[in-house]
Amino acid sequence: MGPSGAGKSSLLEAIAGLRSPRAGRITVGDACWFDADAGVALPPERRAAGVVFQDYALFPHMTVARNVAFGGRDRALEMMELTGIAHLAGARPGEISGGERQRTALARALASDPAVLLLDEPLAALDPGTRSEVRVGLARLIGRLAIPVLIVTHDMADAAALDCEVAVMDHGTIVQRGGHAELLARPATATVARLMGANLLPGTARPGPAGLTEVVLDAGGTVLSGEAGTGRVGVVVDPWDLTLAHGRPGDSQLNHITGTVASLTPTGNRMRVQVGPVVAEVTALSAERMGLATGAPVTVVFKALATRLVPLAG
Amino acid sequence: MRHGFTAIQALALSLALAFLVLPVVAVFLQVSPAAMLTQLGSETATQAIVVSLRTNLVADLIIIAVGTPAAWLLARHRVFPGRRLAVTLLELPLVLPPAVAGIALLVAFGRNGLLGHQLNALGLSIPFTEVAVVLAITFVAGPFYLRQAITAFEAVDPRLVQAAATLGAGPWRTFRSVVLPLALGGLAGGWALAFARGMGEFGATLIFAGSLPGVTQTLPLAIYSEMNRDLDAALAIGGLLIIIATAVLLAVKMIPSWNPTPASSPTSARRFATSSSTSR
Repeated sequence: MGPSGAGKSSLLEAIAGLRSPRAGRITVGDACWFDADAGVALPPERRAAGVVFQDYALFPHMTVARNVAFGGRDRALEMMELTGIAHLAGARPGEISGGERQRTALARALASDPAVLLLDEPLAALDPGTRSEVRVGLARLIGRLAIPVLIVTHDMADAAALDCEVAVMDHGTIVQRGGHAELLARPATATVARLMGANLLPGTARPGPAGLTEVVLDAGGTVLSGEAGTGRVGVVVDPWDLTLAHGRPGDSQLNHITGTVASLTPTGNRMRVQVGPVVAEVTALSAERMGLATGAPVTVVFKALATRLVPLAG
Repeated sequence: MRHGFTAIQALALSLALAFLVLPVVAVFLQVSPAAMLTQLGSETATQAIVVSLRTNLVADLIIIAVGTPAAWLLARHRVFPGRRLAVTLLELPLVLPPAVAGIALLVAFGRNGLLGHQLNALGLSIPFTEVAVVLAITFVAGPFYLRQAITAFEAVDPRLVQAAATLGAGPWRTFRSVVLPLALGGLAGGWALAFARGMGEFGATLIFAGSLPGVTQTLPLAIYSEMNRDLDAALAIGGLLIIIATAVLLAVKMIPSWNPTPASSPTSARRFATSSSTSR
């Protein structure tokens, strides 16, 4: 993850061999693909890197089946079945939906039997309506692969839904690595804080009172949301929509999570406060007035209308 | 106001159409189709047809064989020192008067020309042979193919070339199965233009190769030599060249239908509409 221009795509291109770095080494397992000092630079066709480009780069003059077979004839059928596009074999890329194109690109990359899978903004070319659905499919597929997968994205929801290690890149260097929750709670830089954005609380949705949706959180407790949703969902709520209180206030807000302060991280004039599974962002001034300290009991309060629900895999 | 302007536009279009089409129609009104066929059976005409077809075939083979890889190199590497100069030099024959091309070829490949000594030493004499006709056609028609081929290759998304490489395809396989099929429509269009230009080549051929019947006398040269002797014979050959030119033009118009691009972009959607209406 990283802001645009951080060098995320360049990193993928360097690994795939489409761009030559000035210095450094690129190794996958025991294989060395690039070593500036030793003068090693394998061409892309001799690196076992499966790439899914942002616009998918499907061959427009070939059918789906021929696109996939271009990666590797032997594995083509298996990969088309794995990605669920076997029924589209005879269609051309111009005739199928964005999600189907993405799966074709995935099948094609996997058919070449890669040692590493590189995905450049795999969901960016999709319209918001289909994105969350495709994201679930992608998460499920990646879970079944036995190779390292490197995904470039600028969307926090991707990183959260795919449940992977996140490396934040800024100005060409990786500034922080860790799990989604860890980066959200303790961002090393302002860039990381900005990027991580919202809380994501996994849980199971069911109809709640008064037309609201009730989500039973995996971490315990329930949250009410104004959005519709069923089954496995993630509750998304921005840190600045969370209010902190002592005790249990009798306010109009429907959601209250009680816990103790796990960590306090100042970012500029603000303070990131982790309470149980959520991170709240308050001004440094109000954190001081409340006398917040690690280990202190506190209640996190937020409106049902401040939440969004995104479908999750599994 | 608007009405008057439209009327002026319509008048201008009618004038242009009449002026450009009238001479072409006149050729066919002057000689009946039956007479034309008889005239084309004459020795002069048949010899010129054979010379024209043979020299153009060889020239086009050379143009395609050399021009295709050269164009791919220029399209693939958009920035390298001297690229603009190279492209400009390749386009120079497009704007050069054919008579200049002919005399330039003569001083380059003639007996006393730039390469005359070397060619003489090899026992080769090019001027006023069929080889000279081929060189003249290649010189004047080659840039038409090159220009179109560069454009056609530049239109191939570089991402597709990169994708092919990451899928294990070397430069040859990438070119053969990705670049060539996608550029084929444009390449065919370039060839058609080069062929049309080559079939009509007159000035450079006359100066560099002469007009020897059965050897260097192509169809346009035959028109010139027949004109004073037998106008009908000249018109018959003219009619033939018009038919060939029209066929090439129609083929070029139909080219987008050979190019299988996805229907996602508005331009390709329009292309599909054009092709389906012309193929009906």
